[in-house]
Amino acid sequence: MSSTPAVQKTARLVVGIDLGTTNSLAAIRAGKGARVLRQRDGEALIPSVVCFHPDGSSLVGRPAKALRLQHPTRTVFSIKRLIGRSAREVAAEATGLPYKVVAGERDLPRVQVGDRLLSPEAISALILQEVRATAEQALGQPVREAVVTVPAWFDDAQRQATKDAASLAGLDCLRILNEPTAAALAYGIDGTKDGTVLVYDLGGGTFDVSILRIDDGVFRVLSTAGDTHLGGDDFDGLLAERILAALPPAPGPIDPYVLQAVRSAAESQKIRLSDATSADLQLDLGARGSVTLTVTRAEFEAAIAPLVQRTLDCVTRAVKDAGLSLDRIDEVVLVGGSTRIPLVRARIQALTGKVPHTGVDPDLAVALGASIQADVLAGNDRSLLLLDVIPLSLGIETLGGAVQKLILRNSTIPTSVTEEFSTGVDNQTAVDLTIYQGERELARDCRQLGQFKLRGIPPMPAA
Amino acid sequence: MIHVPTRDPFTVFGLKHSLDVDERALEARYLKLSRECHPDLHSAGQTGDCIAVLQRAAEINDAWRILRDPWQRARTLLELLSPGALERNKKLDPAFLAEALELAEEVAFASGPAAAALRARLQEALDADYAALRGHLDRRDLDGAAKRCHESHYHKKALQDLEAKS
Repeated sequence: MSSTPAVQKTARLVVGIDLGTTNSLAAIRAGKGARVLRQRDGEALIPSVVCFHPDGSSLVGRPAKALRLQHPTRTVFSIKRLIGRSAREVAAEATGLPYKVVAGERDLPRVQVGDRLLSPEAISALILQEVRATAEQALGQPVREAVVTVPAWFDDAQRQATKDAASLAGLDCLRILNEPTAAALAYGIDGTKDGTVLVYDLGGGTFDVSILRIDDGVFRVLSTAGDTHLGGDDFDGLLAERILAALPPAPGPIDPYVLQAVRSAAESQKIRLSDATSADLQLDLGARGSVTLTVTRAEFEAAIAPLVQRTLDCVTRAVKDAGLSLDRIDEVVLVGGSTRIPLVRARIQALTGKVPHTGVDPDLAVALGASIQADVLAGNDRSLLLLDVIPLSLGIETLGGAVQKLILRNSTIPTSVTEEFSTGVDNQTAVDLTIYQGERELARDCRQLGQFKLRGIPPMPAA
Repeated sequence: MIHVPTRDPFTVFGLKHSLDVDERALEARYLKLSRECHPDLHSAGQTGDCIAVLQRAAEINDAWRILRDPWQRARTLLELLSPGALERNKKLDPAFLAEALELAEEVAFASGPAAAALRARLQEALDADYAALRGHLDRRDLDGAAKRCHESHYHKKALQDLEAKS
């Protein structure tokens, strides 16, 4: 190149964004720590809710959440559970949503609002735009670059879709960061936490567990495991089922208004059950009838126990994958709103034998951690380093539809691998390679990431 | 694409070709090398050597993965001392193979206390394999080392299958 632009000496501004199932927010590195970028009224959390108003405008955050009951079919929540997945994969779950999800081209899910078809990326972009606007207002300057977090267990399609959403929102996404890793950064940033940490992240829609080793500013992920379809929404769903069952029977499909109302009621009942041992509910749905229902904490706990057990199975697997035993864990860090549920705390404590660390705010830790990594990528901080892993194995399809894994899950990245394959027919000069992601043996059970043709193989007899 | 010749893991870590490594020192070295060469710490630079940094970081990660595992370390050392030794010594003693077959059957039917005893036996067999492998390498009997390496796979596989059952 003939001319090089002058090197900018001022610190680059890169924010960290937690794009959550339930709430979203941004944070910025500040001094030795990080701080959340709040709305004018001081509130940090922006509900990940978008309402497409009949007047043509779209509202995001609290104003949208407030319109849930007024416009049940036009108010979209929990879009993170749909992003980067196929319509077929989300079909079962979509039937329980008050808004309409249809299959678009290439079997991609589309949210139908009136006669508009919206992609999960476009809806997520609206949430990101709101987060960006909040950040710009709090900082008093434009924000163009960000690190955006995703569940560690997201596959590549879900990560790419999240990146696309950031682009649509006018943000250059420097990195997609794993949520539990981000939380660990927020936990360990003060430099006094060297040791082995287990991050248990149970959010609105997803569950992750990661084991990290912190050594003098180097944060090394040893293993990660999770479930992209397990979170507070599922607990709400269990309570919602009880409420629906208590309603007088009505013919036909459930009205979207009833669905929104019952979901909101279930969520608030769940939250109250974290502090109280029983929670009453009185729901008047007008013509659809009314319901009075008391749920005790014991009943709630019995209902969610199998789901909580699934998270514990993931914890056990992550510990094993890290080559450790539970007694080698020095600290347990809880992240995500659903870790406020007493049963969740009790079970993780019983399994690990450790009283969970409560120094990080479970709602804010992920955004704060993302802003720390953002600062590193901006080139402002060279004192800390994050060594992360790939959560799912990568491989190629071989004869018979089987997948040969080349890079195993929990490999530290970047990484490379060399493997020899033989040609199938004499004088073969090219080979089609299809890359898959996942742990299953057969290609049809794994996620296809892409295809390419390798040419220029010298013609020779097949092996 | 720039091609950086791959170096052997021992050289990447500045170690001599030996089976014996101090695991604590190895880990400290890994963290130091990662700090010196990681794409995250170079992404904001005006440097044109991003690919070189990426490849070097991958080389460090890959070397660490091999060196920290005593078995992978031994295999790599063997291939360095005698390239192709593993490929040349694939043919194992029929008596050993018969034994391995019996072992696999034992694993298939083991349960309860028998499984626990079998697990202990397999662990002992693997320890013996490693000690023998070390002896072969020390004496530079590299064909012997390669054979023992292949034999150990049967014990590892049996142990894995046993673990998978429980």
